[in-house]
Amino acid sequence: MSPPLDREAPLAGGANVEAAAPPSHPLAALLARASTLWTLLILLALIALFGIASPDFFSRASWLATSQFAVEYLLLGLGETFVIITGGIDLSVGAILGFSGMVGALAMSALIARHTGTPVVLAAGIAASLASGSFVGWINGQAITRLRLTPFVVTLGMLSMCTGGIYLLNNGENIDTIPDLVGTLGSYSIGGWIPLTVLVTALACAGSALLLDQTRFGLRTYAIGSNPVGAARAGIDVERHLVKIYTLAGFFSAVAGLMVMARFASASVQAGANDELDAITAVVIGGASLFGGRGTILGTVIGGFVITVMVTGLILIGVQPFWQQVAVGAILIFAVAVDQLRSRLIDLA
Amino acid sequence: MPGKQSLACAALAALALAALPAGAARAQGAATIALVPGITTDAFYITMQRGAATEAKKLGDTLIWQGGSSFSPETQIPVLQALLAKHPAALLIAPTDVTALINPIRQFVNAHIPVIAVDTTISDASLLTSQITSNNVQGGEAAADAIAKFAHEAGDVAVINVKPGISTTDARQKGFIAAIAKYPNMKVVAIEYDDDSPTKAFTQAQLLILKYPNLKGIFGTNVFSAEGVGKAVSASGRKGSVDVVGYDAEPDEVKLLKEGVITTLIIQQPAKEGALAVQYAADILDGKASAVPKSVQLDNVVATTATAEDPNVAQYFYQTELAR
Repeated sequence: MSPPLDREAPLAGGANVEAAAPPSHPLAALLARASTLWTLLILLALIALFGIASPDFFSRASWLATSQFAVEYLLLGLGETFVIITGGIDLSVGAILGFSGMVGALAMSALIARHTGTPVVLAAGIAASLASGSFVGWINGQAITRLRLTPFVVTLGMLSMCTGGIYLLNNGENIDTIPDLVGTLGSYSIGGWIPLTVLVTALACAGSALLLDQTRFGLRTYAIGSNPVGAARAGIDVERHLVKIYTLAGFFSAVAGLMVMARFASASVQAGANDELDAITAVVIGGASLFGGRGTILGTVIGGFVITVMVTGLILIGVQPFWQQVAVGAILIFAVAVDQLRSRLIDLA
Repeated sequence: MPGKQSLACAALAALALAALPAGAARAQGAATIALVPGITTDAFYITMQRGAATEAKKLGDTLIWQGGSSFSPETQIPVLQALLAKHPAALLIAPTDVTALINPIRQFVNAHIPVIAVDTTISDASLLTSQITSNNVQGGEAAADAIAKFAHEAGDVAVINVKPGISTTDARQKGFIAAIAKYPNMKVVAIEYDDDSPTKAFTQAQLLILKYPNLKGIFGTNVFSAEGVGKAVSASGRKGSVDVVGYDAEPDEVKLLKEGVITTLIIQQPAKEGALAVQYAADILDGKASAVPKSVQLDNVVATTATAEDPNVAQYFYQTELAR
C-alpha cells in the first residue's frame, strides 16, 4: 500500500472514494504486492512440510483443531490491524476478550435466574458482551485522544484494569450458568467441516477487508497512520477516527470473547490472557508496520495462520513445544527484515 | 463476597490486636496468629483459612487473615509490612516468590516472631520454623495410578502442564512420569505446555487425541489445563474412552467432575495445612518448638466422578466462603 497522501484532498470532501492507486513504477508495484505474497509462501511451505511429516495433518480433526484455535488470534488480529495501521498499538485486546465474555455470561446467568426465555437470554448476553467490549475500546480511544497519552500506556493500563475486572466480576470463578444453546452452537460444524465460530471469523475477516480496502473509513485509517499531521490538515477529524478505531478493536475482542465462550460453554477467567502479543505478532508477520500506514487484513489472516499452524503442526509431528516459540519468533524477525529490504527497494525503484 | 468479608475480618482482628500488648506471648492461650495467603480470592486459600480458623478457635487463639488480591510479591510484601507493625505472635504465610519474600520474612524472624510456610515456600528454609505443603510428587503418582486403573494398565498417556519452572506442577509431572514407568505396557507419549490458557490446552488435547489413537488418558496439572482437556475430550466424542485427570477441587472443577467431563481430581488438603500450621504455631509459643517437625508433606486425596457425591470425599472440595 502506498502512502495515500495524494488522495487526502478529495477524501476530505467526501465525494471521491477510490481503491488505492497503484504505485507509479511497475517494479515498485510488484514489490508492494510481494509483502503478503511471500508470507503466504511461508505459510504454504509450513503446511507442505507438516503434511509430509505427519499424515494426520491433512485430516478433518486437524483442520477443526487448527481453524478453531485460529479464531481467537484472527479476531483479535483484525482489530489490532486497524490500530497498528494508524500507528498505534492495543495491548488490551486479550483482556477485553476475557472481560467482555464475563460481562456477557453474567448477564445471561442473571436472566436465566429470572426464568427468561432462551432467545432473549442469548440476545442480551451477546449484546452485553459486544457493548462492554466496544465501551472499553471507546474509553481507550478517549484516553488516547483527549488526554493525549500514548496508546501503549493507555492500553497497558487497560490490560491491567480489565484483568482485575475479570476476577472482580465473579470472584475469580468461571461462569457456566449460561444457556446450553451457547455450547451447542459453539461445537456445531456445518457439514462437519466448518465450525460456526470459524464461519463468524471468516465473515468478520471479509467485512474488515472490505472496510479497510473499499471505504473512506479505510482510506482515512491509512492516511492517519502515514501522516497524522497531513491527515488533519486535509480535513480528517483524526481524534474522532482514532476513537472509532479503538472502539472497533474492543468490538472485535468481544466477538472473540463470545467465540471462546461458545467453545467452552462457559466464560473462563483465563480466557484471552496473554493473547495480545500473539495478535500483534500475527499482524506484523502479515506485513503491517508498527510505525503505521501499512498493513492488510489478508496479511493478518496469513500471519495468524502461520502462528496456529506452527502450534498444531509441531504437536502432530511430536516436536518439543518450545520450538514453536523459537520458530514464530524467527519468522517474525525474518518477516520484518525482508519487509524493510522491500521498502528500500521500492524507494530505489 | 469473600473480599469484603476478609477485609472486615482483618479490621476486626486488627481491633482485637490493638487491645493486646505488643508481642503478647501465649499466656492463657490467647495468642494472635496471622495467616497471609498467596491470594485472598482463591478457594484453595479460603479453604486453608477455614481449617486454620477452626483450629485457632479450638485452641482459644485469634486468627488474622490478610493478603493481596493478586498472587504476587508486589501485593504481598506491603501486607507483611503492615502486619509487622501489629506484631502478631506467629506468622503463617504462603510466600508468593521463593526469593522476594526472604527479606520481609527475615524482619519477622528478627522481631522474634516464628514463621511457618504453608503451601509455597522460600529458598532460605533456615528462616522458617516449619514448612507444610502438599506432596505434589505423590499427587502426580496418584494421577498416573488413576489412569492406569482406567486403562487396565496398558496404552498411551499424555501430560498437559502449565509451563516449566513452577515447582509444584513440575513435581506433579515428575511423579506422574515416574509412576507410569512402573507399568510396562504404558507410555508417556507427549508433554505439552499450555501457558495457563484453557483454549491452548483444548487444542493440544484435540491434536493429541488425533495423533495417538491408543491414548487412554491425559493428566492436566492445574485447573485450567484440566478444564481445557476435559472439554476437548468431550468435543472429540471420546468421553469415556480417554480418561481426564485434573488437579485441585475448585468449584468449577468439581462441577466438571460431577458431569464426567473431568473423571478424576487429585485434591490437596489446604484445610489440614491451615489447621496444622496453627497447631504448630501454638506449640512453638508454648515452648514446645522441638516437637514441631521442620517439614511436612501432606498426601493428596483422590475423587472420581463416581465418588463425587460421597460426603467422605466431598468434604475435601475447596470452599468459597471464609470461616468467621
